[in-house]
Amino acid sequence: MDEEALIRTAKRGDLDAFNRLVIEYQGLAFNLAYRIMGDPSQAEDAAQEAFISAYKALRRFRGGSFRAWLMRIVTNACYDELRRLKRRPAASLDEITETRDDMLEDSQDPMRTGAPQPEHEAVRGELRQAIEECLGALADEFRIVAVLVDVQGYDYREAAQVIDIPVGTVKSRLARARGRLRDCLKLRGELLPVEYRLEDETD
Amino acid sequence: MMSPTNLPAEDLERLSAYIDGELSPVETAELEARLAREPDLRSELLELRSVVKATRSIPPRRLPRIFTLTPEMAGVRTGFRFPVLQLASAVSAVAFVILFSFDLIGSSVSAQRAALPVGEVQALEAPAEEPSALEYQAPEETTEEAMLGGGEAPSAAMLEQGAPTEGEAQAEAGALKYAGTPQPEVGEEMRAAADEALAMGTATLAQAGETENAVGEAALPTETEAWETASTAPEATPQVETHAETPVQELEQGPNLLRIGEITLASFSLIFAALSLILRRRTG
Repeated sequence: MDEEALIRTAKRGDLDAFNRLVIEYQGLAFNLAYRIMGDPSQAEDAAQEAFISAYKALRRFRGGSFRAWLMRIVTNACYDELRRLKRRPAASLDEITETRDDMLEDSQDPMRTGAPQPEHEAVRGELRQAIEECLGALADEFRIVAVLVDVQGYDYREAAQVIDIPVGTVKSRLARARGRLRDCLKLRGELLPVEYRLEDETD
Repeated sequence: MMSPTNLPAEDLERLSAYIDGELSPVETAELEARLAREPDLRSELLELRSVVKATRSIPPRRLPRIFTLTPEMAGVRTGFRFPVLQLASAVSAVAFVILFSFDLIGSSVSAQRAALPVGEVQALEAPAEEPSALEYQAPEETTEEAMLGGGEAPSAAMLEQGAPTEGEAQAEAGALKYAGTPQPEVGEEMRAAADEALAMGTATLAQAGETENAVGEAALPTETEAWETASTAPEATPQVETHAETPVQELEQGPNLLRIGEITLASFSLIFAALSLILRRRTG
């Protein structure tokens, strides 16, 4: 059954059909929530809450990109949770270290779904750690755009749908996010493996 | 280590969009011409490309668990697919309760009618009270009854108590109780019994209904016998029996129909509820 058929069936209240959509998108939803929240357990709660909200709101889905519609619900659930927590969603150093360890273990994890595959399998843990930290240091409005476009591979229009801003705003925020990431990574240049050092980039 | 650059925001935005192929053909051509003659801009482009490449290399985080929804999380009632059965069960249950309440009121009234003369006769031993308590008795017969049935009324009460009209112990006990109970308490007794029965559940309700009817029936023949006993008096008129039999027949038929209705509705209610439960388990 294709996605449209699943959505039609789920709209009629079929929980099994909706759960197939959940399985398809849970990787994206949890990872997006994690990038926004900066905390895995909070991300877990937000993602679960988002799926519950999505099921209840499914009848209001009028077509278009289901992924964008769903990720918008995830984003809203995260911001609601953040407003509730009233704290900045920056990842702690301990969390980043833990993340790096997890990632090193999980390169062949079958539960890993959704996001684009790494271009280089041999990306070093130091670089990942640096990127995680630099992403976490971005302001919310820049981080969400960078995560959607660069980490999760959305195009500008879909990212604009997810966070409900104009495409032009996505474009400008993404440029600023990339510029800040570049500055942050430059400050950590000596940590980067040679092939990723910005001054050595040749392609 | 390189220091952060001071690239103008417009150029940064153009380079970023250029990486994603989001510039128009005209903008692309203009930027490529600049890149060909501006090494610094070209260097900025390479840096941004490496940032994007590094960011895209972040692997997704492992899922802590599966996020599929349970029916409870989704707020789905498992009988959702069979609302008709649930509705039928609810409707028949409500109809049963209404009918049962109607029956209860009817039984209470008939019990009062039957118990009243006996109780008063017993309590007061005044023969004149018996006919006056019966609403449907004609005024001209009152005098006659008062005179003729005066000696018979206590014996009628004795007959009832000595020889129960129904075999059921409950009915007998109820009849005796009502016979010796003042009028206002009869209704309370019935209501208390009904409340008790309602608390015991649907299955018990049906039995309780029968019990209540039995009590009513036990009281009704009491009335009949009282009249029959009275009519054995040498000078009893046939009109007395005629007057007595008509309401008694109506009251006997009424509860029978009500009882059948109650049993039917209670059965429907239980059957539909059971079907709902079975289907809910199979499909949930």
